[in-house]
Amino acid sequence: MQLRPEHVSLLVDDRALIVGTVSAEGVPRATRGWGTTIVPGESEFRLLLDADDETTLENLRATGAIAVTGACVRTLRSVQVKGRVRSIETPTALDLAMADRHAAMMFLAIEETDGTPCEIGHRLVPADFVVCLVDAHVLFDQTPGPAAGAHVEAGV
Amino acid sequence: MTEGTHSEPELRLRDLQMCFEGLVPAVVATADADGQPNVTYLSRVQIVDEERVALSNQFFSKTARNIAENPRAEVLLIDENTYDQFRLALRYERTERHGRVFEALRRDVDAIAALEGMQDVFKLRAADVYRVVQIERVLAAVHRRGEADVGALPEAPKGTSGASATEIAELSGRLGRCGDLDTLVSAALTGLAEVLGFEYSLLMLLDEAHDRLYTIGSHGYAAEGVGSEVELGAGVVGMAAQQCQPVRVGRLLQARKYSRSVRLSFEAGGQVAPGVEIPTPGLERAGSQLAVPAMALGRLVGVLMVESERPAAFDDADEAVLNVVASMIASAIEVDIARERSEADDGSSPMPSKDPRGAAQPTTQVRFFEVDGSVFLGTEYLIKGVAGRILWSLVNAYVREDREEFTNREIRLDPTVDLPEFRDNLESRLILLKRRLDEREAPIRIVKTGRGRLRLEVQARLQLDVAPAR
Repeated sequence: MQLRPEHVSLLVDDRALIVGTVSAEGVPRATRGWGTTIVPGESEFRLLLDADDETTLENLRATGAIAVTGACVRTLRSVQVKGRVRSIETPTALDLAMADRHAAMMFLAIEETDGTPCEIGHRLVPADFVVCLVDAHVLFDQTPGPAAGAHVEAGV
Repeated sequence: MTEGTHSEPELRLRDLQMCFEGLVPAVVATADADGQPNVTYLSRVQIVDEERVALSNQFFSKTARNIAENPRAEVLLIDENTYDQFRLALRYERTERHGRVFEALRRDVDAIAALEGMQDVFKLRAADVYRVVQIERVLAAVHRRGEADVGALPEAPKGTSGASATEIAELSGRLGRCGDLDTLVSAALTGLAEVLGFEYSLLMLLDEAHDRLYTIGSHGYAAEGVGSEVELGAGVVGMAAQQCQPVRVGRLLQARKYSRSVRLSFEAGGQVAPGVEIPTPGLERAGSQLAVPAMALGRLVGVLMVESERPAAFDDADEAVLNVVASMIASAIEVDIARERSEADDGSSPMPSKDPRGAAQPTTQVRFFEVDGSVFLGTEYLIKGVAGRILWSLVNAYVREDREEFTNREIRLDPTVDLPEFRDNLESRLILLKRRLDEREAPIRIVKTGRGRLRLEVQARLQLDVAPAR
């Protein structure tokens, strides 16, 4: 599926990213995402994950199934992309710069809305990253409320 | 065990208490029978016992559907003081729709719903109970990198009062020495600040129809807000009154944000009308609120609310102390009402005014709207309801009968005031009216001249107008 600009906007910049994966035995795993590079209109995007989270990476190698939820820290508007990871790669300098920018923007948004100092939030930032190439298959509205989980029409 | 995580067999749920306060939303991952994962934020996670947690379920979400197919889940929690992360591997056990766990979660959800007036549509449907299979601490990256820690961690939240029995006795003594309700309200709210450290407080009383609360006094705010009202069930105060139970929101900024987001979603679905704002008297950026019902003889008298700009400013001890103070206030109000009604009027007729009405005084227009009893002084709204009708009755007697002295008894018997026959709130309404006139620096004032007696002091020529009904 192709990602529309309004949905891309909930997955980039200062949006908080959470990631779900599953093992071959069906055991789910929750982790955080550390930035994305998405071109509107395309179906594949780059997602940064913690390189030390071996369980998540093992799950992706075993099943490839992934769910990524992006949420606006200020309004909690959210979308969830489900798809497959095509490959796991070493991040480029551009990827790492994007991760730095993502963390800085997200923790600033959190500080401004919730009052948590940026420095505290930065304790969560991983020491090393990997980048996953994700092929988006389906999109859901994940905004808290009665419509959470509703399928979002695909295509540009 | 993976790198970056640290399995600690000794870790117990109670060690993770600060992960369950709701500052940082928890994350839950599940998977369906086909191996498709789902990841979302959770509004509430709560400890059930040493081995179990409960997740709130408001919308029969994809998470709940996945659990029906595959009982395994994983929750990611953050300690809001240290920002340490923990992973809980879970296995679904059961769903509860009543009982202790459900009720505790329901109170949290109800409080969030009440913040945006959604108490009729946003409700907890179920509490899903899971057994905790494993707890992992996810080491902060700074430790894995071997670097010095960044930034100072915030202090663990502490309660506000830390009140001792001596301090509670001090406040009790102050209240016991109050001779009337007006003094009692001031002493209680001032005492909460001076003796117990609650800088911002609000006392609201239940109205005659038992469907609204009105502010009779406050402390710490720029405007006292006397006469402001909330409906039962609306906001933290309205919820405490409706349920006759304390309501505590320790992360108000986050709770409001979540509540607003849910409300927008309901509005989009046409389930609530847009544009309804519930005015909550108090701090613009309150971090915490605690409202406790003021009850006496099994009956709700009002609600005592305290708030702070600090998140998690109130703890169980504060709640207990506020309960004691609210009960003292409620009992004192009940005693005052009973005493005021039982003391016989001495029968003497109020004296007509002896002072010449100053012809040179400025004229103040008093406008009365029969439809809701609201009174305006000139173009400024003053008061409505029972208090508005009392004022209209008094100024009519002042202008038409040349009277300044009044008794509670005659006000109570005046059919235009429309007090309920059983258990009226006349004394508290008079205090509300007196405080509102003082707050507005109005040219009309009420002065208590004895038990069950008052004098109307007027520093203007009054022009009385009844506004036509629309």
